[in-house]
Order: sequence, then C-alpha cells, then structure tokens
Amino acid sequence: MMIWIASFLIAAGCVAGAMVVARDMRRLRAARTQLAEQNALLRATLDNIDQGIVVVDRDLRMRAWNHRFLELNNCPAELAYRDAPYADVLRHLVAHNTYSAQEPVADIVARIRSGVPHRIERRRPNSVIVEISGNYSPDGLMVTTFSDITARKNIERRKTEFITTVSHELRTPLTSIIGSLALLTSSGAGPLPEIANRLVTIAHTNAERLVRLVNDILDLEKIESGRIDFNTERIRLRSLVLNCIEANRAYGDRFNVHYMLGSCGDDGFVLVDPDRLTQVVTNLLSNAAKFSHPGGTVEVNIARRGNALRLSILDHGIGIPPAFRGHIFERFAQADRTKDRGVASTGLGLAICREIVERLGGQISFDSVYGEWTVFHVDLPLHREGTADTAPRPSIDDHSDGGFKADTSAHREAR
Amino acid sequence: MKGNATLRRVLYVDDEPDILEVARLALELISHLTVTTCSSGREAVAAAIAFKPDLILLDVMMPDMDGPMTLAALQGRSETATMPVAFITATVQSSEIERLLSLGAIGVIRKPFDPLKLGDEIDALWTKR
Repeated sequence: MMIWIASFLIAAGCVAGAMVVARDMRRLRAARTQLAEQNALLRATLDNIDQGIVVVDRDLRMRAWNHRFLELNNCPAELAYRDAPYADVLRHLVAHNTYSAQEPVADIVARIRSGVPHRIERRRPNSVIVEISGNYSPDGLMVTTFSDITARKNIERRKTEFITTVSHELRTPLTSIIGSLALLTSSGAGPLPEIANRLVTIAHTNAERLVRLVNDILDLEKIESGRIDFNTERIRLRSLVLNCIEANRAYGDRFNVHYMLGSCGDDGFVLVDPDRLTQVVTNLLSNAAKFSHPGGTVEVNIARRGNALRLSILDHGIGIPPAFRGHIFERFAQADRTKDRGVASTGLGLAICREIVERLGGQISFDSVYGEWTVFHVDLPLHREGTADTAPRPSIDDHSDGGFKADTSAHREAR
Repeated sequence: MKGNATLRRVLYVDDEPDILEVARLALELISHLTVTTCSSGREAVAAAIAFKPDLILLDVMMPDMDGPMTLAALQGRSETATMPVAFITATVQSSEIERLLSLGAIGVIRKPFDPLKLGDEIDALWTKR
C-alpha cells in the first residue's frame, strides 16, 4: 500500500491538520509483474523458434523482432532497436547482397505498404533458401517470418530426381517388353496358338498398365512440384469437350457405352491449357464408361454458373460407395468394385484431374447415388472477351448443391 | 533438302539391344522399311555413310557418345550433314524435348513407343520435315 500525507498550513504558519491518501498498489504491482512475465515469455518464445520474425508498424518502424531474424538476414544487431526504421535494415540487406535475387528497396517497401499478404522465396549466394512470408494484423502491423527452407527444397529436389530417374529406368525395359508383346499380339510376327495368344494378351495389357502407372506418377509429380508449364489459351469449352467425346467414342464402344453431349446452355470461353483440360475430360469420360452398365449412356452437359462454366459428366452406372467418397481424389484410391469389374486403372487419374483443374483456377467435385448414378463437375472460371490473361481469375464460390468438392486440406495431410 | 519421296531406309542407333531388335522387327514387319541398326554413337557415323539412310533414329542416352553428340558428329560430316535425324528417348520433360529439337532434329519419338505405330510416326516426321 502506498500512503501520501499532505499537510495544511494556515496563515500563522502552523500546521492545522493533515490529509492522508492511501492507495492500494498491490494490483498495480501485480499487473506490472504479470506484464514483465508476459514480456519475458514473449521474448523467450521469439528467441527460441526456428523462424526469424520481425514486426513493423504502418510507418515501417520496427516493433518486435527476434535473434533468428538477425541471424538469417546477417543483420547487425545495432540496426534493430525499438522504432528503428525498417527501411535501414532493408537497405543493409540489399547493400550486402544478402539475397541473390535482388530488388530495389523501394519495391520491397511498396510490397510491405501494399497490405497484401505475400510469400516469396529468396536464394542466398551461399545456397540457403529463405521463404519470406508477410501477413498483416487488423491494426496494421505487418508480421514477416523468415524460414530456412533449404532442407525441404533439397528433399523435394532429390525426390524429383529419384522419380525422374526411376521412371526413365523403368521405361527402358518396358519399351522392349511392350514392343515385343505388341508385335506378338498383332499379326506382324505371325499367328500364335490360341492359348499362347491369350497369355500374351494378358501380359501386354498389364505391361501397358504399368506404363500408364509410370506416366501418371511422373505426371502427378510434375504437376504438384510446379515443374510443368501450363500453356493457357482462350478456348470455347464446348469445342474442346466435343473433340474429347469424338476421340473417346471408340473407348466407350469397348464398354458398349454411348457418350451424349446434352445441353450446353449459355456456352462460353475458358482460359485453360487445352492439352491438360483434354486430359481431365478424357479421364472423366473413360471413368464414366468404365463404371457404366453395358448399353448405358454418359451425358455431358455444360452450364453457366455465375462467373463459371460447369462441365458435368453423368453416368448411370454403379455409383460410388459412401465409404469411398472421402477418398476419391486421393492417390491410388480405388473402390473395391473397381477390381471386381476388371477395370484397368492406376488409381491416380482423379488425383491428377484435381491437380490440373486447381492449377487452371477451377474446382472439381462430384455427387453420386450408390448403385444408380455418378456425376463429376468441373467448374472453370468464365473468360470474357477482353479479359487480360494475367488478370486475377474470378473466384468460384457457389457450391451450395451439396456435392463433394475435392478436399485439398485433408488430401494434403494424407500424403 | 528432301531426298526420296518415300521413306524407305532407316538407321536406328540405340545401346539397348532388345529395343533395337523390337524396333527393327516393327519397322520391317509392319512398315516394310529397310533397317540397319548400330549400338553406339561412334558406329553411327560410319554406318550412316555406308548405309545412306533416309532417316536416322537416334537414342538420346547412350554411354560414351550420347545422342546429341552423335548428331553433332553427323552434322559435322559433309556426307551425313543433311540426313534427317529424329531422337528417340524415355525422357518426358517438355524442356528436354524442346532442347533436342533445337539441336536440329526433325522430331522426338517417346519411349515406350508403340511398335505398330512407330513406322507411321517416323514417316509423318520425315514427310513434314
């Protein structure tokens, strides 16, 4: 408790009385202690995490930072003090060539002031790769984290090299195997006894399946790692779908399934890589044929949905088992009945479709009644004439039909 | 420069003997072409001079002297400099395909190839070169 004593003087100079003011300081002291503890906790946390962190305010003054921030950026400690101008730090980084991918300080400042969250990678001359991520708090503070992602990048690179090498090494013997079997099953090498012909056909079919698997693994790896270029152009969706249907008619005939292009509603243009979208549509058409009943029809429709075009591929086949619905876009996901039907599949097709559609700025979803029908939807942003190719794609947010969207987060965790 | 109006003679260079044999059989049996094979880049130049093929099919990854080096050697000899060359490779990366084309090849065939269509594929490349 703190006590103040004030005396009162009268004209004669005598003390006539005193006023005593008492104030309980325990709460204040407790609050100060708590604040100090929280500060210590914050400091201990900041200085013991693996990421570098710096917090700057609207005026680009430094409000908080940690040791790792200084270390990852080779930043002298004297540059970092409360309310220090962050531009000085940036100038130091640029002047001392901290990052090989240089950009003027003014550009960095502009990016910070933009208020737009950002994530960039910078490779240092010493080969350390740092991921810089800027986010904003509601009161205008920008929190930037610096993460050393060198190890992660090296693992990704090694994984890519491994997959590429293995795929290449697998292709070489497969070329001989498939080539020999294809010649045997054709009349090119002369007729075979019936039983031998059946056995060679089995071997040929499975060798081709192995090739598709190798191709799909490579494809998926390339798409996921972003090592594949998407050559986008403005195309009429209906034309591409029509071409796909024509190209797949023979495949449908194998299952005695007919493809039918139904309503195209308010048809329009999309900005896509035609080859990649063809890959998606082909995969969905072939799936629809494989899982249809003989004599069935696969209906293909295109409809306008807000700022998107929806391509729907509906089959009246065996449907998707409820227990399998949550896994349909996962790698190597195949319902048990796939094998029952003798359907050749790598189990990667829908995972690849999902990656491609998302790279094209769209979404893939499905709905099904087990035993009755399945429909897959591909929603792609509508591309209006005069829209710049580089403009942000309109978002597709109207999915209130109860269908199943590809659940990206769950899928990624499962990998 | 175009030679014969029809593709007749093919030289196939690959260090994998099984693939050489399959490709040779496919081109002879299915497409009725005359085929000579050799298993290294070093042999390829001499074989090309002796055989005078309409088209050379060249594997990319070969020990000692790979496909691009062999192509450069062919381009460096007056007898073989204008012979059309198509690469054949198990590589699927588009950047690598573009690089191979930039060296002067008339096309790239991917492994595994379909032996029943190989003749048509190389004929199409040869015709539009």
